[in-house]
Amino acid sequence: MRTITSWRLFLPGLMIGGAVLAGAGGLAAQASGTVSGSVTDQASGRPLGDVRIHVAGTTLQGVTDLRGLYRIAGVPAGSVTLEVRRIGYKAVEKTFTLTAGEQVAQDFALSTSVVTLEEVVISGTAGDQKRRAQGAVVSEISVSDIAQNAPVRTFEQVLQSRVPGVSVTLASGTSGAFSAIRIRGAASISLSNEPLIYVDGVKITQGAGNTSATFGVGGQVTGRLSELNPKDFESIEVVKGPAAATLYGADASAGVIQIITKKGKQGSRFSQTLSLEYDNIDPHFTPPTNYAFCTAAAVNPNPTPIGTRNPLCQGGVALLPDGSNIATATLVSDNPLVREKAFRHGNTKEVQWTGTGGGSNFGYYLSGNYGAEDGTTPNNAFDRRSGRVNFNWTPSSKLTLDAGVGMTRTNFVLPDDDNNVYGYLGGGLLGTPLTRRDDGTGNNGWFGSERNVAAIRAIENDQQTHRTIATATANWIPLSWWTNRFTVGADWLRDEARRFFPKNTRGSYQGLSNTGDISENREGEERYTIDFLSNARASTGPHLTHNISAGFQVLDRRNENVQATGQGLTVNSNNTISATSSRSAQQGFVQQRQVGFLGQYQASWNDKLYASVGGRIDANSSFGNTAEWFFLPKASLSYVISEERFWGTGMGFLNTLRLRGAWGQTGRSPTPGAALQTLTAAPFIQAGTEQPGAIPNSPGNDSLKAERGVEYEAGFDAGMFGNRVGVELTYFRKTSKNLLLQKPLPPSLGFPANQAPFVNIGKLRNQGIELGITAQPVQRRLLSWDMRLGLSTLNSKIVDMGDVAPFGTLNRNSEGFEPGMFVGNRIRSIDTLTKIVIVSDTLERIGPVLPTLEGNLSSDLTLFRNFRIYALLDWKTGNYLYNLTDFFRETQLVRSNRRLDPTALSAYEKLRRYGNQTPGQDAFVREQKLPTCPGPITVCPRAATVNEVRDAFVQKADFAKLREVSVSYLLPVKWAGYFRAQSASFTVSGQNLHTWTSYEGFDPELISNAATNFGRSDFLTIPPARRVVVKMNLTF
Amino acid sequence: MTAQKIVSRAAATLAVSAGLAGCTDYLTVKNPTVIEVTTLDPIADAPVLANSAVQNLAAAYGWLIMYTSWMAGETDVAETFPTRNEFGRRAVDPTNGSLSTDVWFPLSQAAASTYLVLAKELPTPETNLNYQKAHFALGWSFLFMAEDFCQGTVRAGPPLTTAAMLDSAIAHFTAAMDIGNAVTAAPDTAASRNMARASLVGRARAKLQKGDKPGALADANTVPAGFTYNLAYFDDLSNRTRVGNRLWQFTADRGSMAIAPAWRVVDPRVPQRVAPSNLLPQDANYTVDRGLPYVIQDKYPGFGSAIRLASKLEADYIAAEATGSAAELTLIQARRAANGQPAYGGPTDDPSVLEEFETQRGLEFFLENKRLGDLVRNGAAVRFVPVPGSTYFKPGFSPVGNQTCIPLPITETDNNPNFHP
Repeated sequence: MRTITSWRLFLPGLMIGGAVLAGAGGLAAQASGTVSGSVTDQASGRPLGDVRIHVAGTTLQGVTDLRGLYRIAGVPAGSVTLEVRRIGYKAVEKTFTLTAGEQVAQDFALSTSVVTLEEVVISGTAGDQKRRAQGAVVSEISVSDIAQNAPVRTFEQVLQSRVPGVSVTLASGTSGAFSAIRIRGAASISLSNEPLIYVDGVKITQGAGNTSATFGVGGQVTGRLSELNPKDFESIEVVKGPAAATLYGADASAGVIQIITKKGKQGSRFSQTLSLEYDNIDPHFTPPTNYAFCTAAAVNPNPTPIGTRNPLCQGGVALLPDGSNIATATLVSDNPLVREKAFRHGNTKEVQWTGTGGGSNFGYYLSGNYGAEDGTTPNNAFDRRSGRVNFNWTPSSKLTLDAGVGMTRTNFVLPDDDNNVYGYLGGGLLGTPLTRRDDGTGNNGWFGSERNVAAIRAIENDQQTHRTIATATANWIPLSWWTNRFTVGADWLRDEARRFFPKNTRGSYQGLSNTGDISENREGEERYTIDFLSNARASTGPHLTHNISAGFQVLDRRNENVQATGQGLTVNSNNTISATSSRSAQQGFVQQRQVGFLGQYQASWNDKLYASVGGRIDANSSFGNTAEWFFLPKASLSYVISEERFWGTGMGFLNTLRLRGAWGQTGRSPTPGAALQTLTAAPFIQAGTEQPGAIPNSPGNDSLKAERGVEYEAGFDAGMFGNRVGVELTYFRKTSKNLLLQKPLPPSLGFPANQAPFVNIGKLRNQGIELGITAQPVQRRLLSWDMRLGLSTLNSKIVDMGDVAPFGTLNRNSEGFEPGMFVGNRIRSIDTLTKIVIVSDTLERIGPVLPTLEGNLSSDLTLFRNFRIYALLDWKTGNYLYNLTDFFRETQLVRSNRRLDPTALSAYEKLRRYGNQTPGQDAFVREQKLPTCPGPITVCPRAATVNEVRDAFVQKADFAKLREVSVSYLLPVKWAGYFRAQSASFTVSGQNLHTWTSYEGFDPELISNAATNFGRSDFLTIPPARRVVVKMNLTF
Repeated sequence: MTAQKIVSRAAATLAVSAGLAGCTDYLTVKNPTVIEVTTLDPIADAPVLANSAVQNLAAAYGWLIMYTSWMAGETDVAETFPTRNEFGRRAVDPTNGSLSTDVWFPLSQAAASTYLVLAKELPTPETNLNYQKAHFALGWSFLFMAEDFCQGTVRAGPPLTTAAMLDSAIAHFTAAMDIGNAVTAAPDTAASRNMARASLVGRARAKLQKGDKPGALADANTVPAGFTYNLAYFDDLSNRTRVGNRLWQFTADRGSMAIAPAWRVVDPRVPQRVAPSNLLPQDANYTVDRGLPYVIQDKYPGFGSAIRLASKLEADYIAAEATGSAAELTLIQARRAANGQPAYGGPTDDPSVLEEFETQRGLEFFLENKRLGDLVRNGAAVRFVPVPGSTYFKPGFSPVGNQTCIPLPITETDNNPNFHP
């Protein structure tokens, strides 16, 4: 087994940190021995990989390979305690004596456990990192287990439906598009509600991608997290709210997600894994058909030119100009999307290689991944190449150095989507059969002239992203009671995005775009993290242990983009900006910095009762040149009551019980410069030339402060029935104070609507219950069955809006109600005889935009040790979705059979959806209940339009989905040998298999702009696809 | 406390202070994408702000012309967008997003931005050209607001009636004229005089709209012969929405406007042409629905085409209307002759003359944002306006409404505290 003993052999990048901290010298300098052994599953006897064996009081640790073997060299002689941990298994500690030069074998057989008090979490805490010491819930997902069998290509797919309180919405079926993540509801009304993401302690760029360059794709912009390869993740820790996220400072109120990448395995031999995957992507969707009554022009059998004859209306009955004979007119239909086969079966091909191994005091993890995905439309692709190198080195028992570099190159090709005249659905669902022509020219059933599948496919929306995330961490334990962790890292990314309309003579696009139109965007974003945490432990007496921690964190973000646009090409092949006849350019720049100092004191009594207090002092450049420092405190309590003597052998079925509670504060900072009163450069014309000018931009707010999220949570972890059933119950109450509202300004002030200033007004409260139940009903050698149930409730309410009046006419923010709730003039009564539909005279609540109850149920059955069946069902209820697609097709550009076919709906339903359609009559009539009404019509308007009455189209979005079913088979070793492999597994799985819902649109999860906080509209968005995945894993 | 402790604690305090001070510097970041107000010199940069305010007026003017031309029936909405078709149907809902962003906001910004100048103490106010430009832009903003909107407000102020808006317009036109007439130093003289004359035409127009016919006549008569004041535009791809001619943009780039059937006349004052094959209506079903070819305006054939704001010709029309039928008839005959039309031979009763007068005025100032104000002032005499209750020419839309002015958007009435006393 090789040993690195010379600093010169180590990665240069690590030397910087290592040289500072590692005065302790090399392994050879100490009297030490070696510990090795194997770890197996107690029930089945199979070897367990990825088990961490940590030498207590040192930085030494080993990880088992696939054969369950580990080896740790350089273990200081004397009394040695090994801590053996793996997610899903009961932790084991073993103490023994090691003499210098000795090689000791220590084997372990781990039993599965649903009670996870001994697991170590590294997020959101300082001091003792065992879960039992944490007062706030930090959830952990074993990604390596999930990725082994489930069809997961993106971070969001890993996260979806696996942690109570974490809501992931896959907003469309567009491959590579952004998905919204919400933890415990919305923490803010105006600021981002996306959680912060850290990779190995380094903050990275998350959220929606390059929106400025991908303007045409509607809301289906790229997602930054799609650029990460989840197969490189070991685990994910979710810090849900302020109670746990205080140490992450003034920008963490929406939660924090920590990704821990796979590490090299010290003491194990080199092994490789090859994973091959093929997905079939079924659009699983039939676009609705367009309808229209033939007109006199359309039934003309001999139009000029003859090619313009409508093939659908020949022989039909013309609609008279006054519309009186509409009943006798011919209703014809057309479905251009189906006719031209706009949607197709897509596929994904992915190959992942990993190599891992190490010497006696170092380990490495290498990976390479290539995945190519063709989506369900002709111009949708999501290709990703990624590689990762992780290296760890333990030069002494006092020091461990970890370094990792992950690099990805991602290509997104996205179709125009959503509210977009160039989208497939925008073009296909809003076209009319009246424009069908024999010669196929003109609209021919599409929304735009010459806008067919070929024309839409020819529009290029490409984005290539190069991303490198580098991390380095030094763990230094100079004394057994004093630990230090120093992390530095960076996330560099660069986008090259392009949008291109080819020059054409058919006039397929709007106006001058037909002359050839190019936009190029170059965006670069850099984030740097420096993080230090020091912890000292001391005992006073045999029972009481103290942990004192202190540290700091420095964050720096810089974003710059340059966009150039050109119009007018000579030929399409010469399609650079320089080749265009008129050009323009724009530039953007954002810089944000944050500094925080943190400290924590934790006391534990007999390792059963833990109490901690701590805080962080923080400042952020968002608040102008005079940064304000503010303090964020926290406190928590954890009590493993079941380990008390009086508990005895347990209270009947209840074997383990931990009570916990936590309180803490974090914040959320606005965008840089939000405090400033600003103008925007804008030219004016003087003497025939453009001169530099300025127009109002933002009134700013020089007294701006960060939002302050205050949360307390309380709950218990219990193990029952021989710890075969684990229950984790948490009640949380999160209040965002100093709520930053982007209070809409009246336009008459002259500031653009999107520059409304932030003001610290109001209070938003989210509260709910999170329940996780994990059960192992059967654990036999040949049969094991795991089940998991997750439930979470959410009750959101704006508690206070200060002096801000309610605002928003579709998604409204109003005191006492959910943020961004749907409102409308609600229907009071419908009289089918008089056709009078009475509606409320003011905007009233229809329902919330976020689910009030989410749940998921998974079952994992393993038969004969090698045959595994997994199923995941999830559901969301309580929320509403604006079915704007139907609204548009029924009331604005009328294309829907529902509206046109007189027999499609009952008289009542017609009135409910469209109001009174009798000419000269008000569609809807407002009741007159305001104190000032009845009165003048300017004060008490009588008529309400279909735009204001949304009862029929803001629809319940409750659903249950069979999200995932997979069947895996671990091939016998002999069969694996045919591939020259040690082991081989084969998996077939399906995603998005069935949906139960009453929602009338394509899919209740659709969001036409997932990047917005509360915009929950379904408007011409491609629905999620169904996937069938075939996957093979080979280990060599 | 020992000396050692004192020294060590002082050192620690100094270290922490230095650290925090360093952090404060670290937290000072660049913000180069915007102009911080504090970086502008109120006096030296006043011309920048004043000229920008005039440009804001020019940008708003283009929007207003397009939307009011739909509402007053000068053009058809050749778009599918329901919000824009509401203008074509004279049934604009306060929740209409286009109303807020395209119509009300640009005009509001034009008005509000003048206060960046007017609120400053500038030297020699009686001849300060920056003040003149600001008053000029604000006067026109108030006038357009009064003619086109049912209510008005500026800078989140209280609701303004039409009369109040016209009074404000008159006051600011007067202020602009006073400065322009006081300026004597070349090279400012010609430009400021021209602006003063344009203000004079604006004031006459405001007075006429208000019903002050003697005042309108007096002002109109003092406008010198041959005077024309245009707002300038420029073809710049990166700033088309600000400095480009909006009418051409929405003809060439968007396909939003078609000449309404009633205005498809052979008259040099209404340049138009059947759209070439590369210029298509955004609503590709337009020709089917209308049963007519797609005819586009040719009055503004490029992004750099200027738009007339004020002229002696308009002053003549104001004067004639303020004087009465005889003067109107005289002007009718003169203008018909000048534009190749036969002499008017119809009835000469007041309503008939006024109707023909309004038609000639409509031809004369086609796509110049006058028609809606005319409709308010002269009602039925203004022809070719979409008829209330009639079937809209596009299937699937509700019948034409009866609005004669544009309501304020809900974004204003909801968010302006003065609308909720």
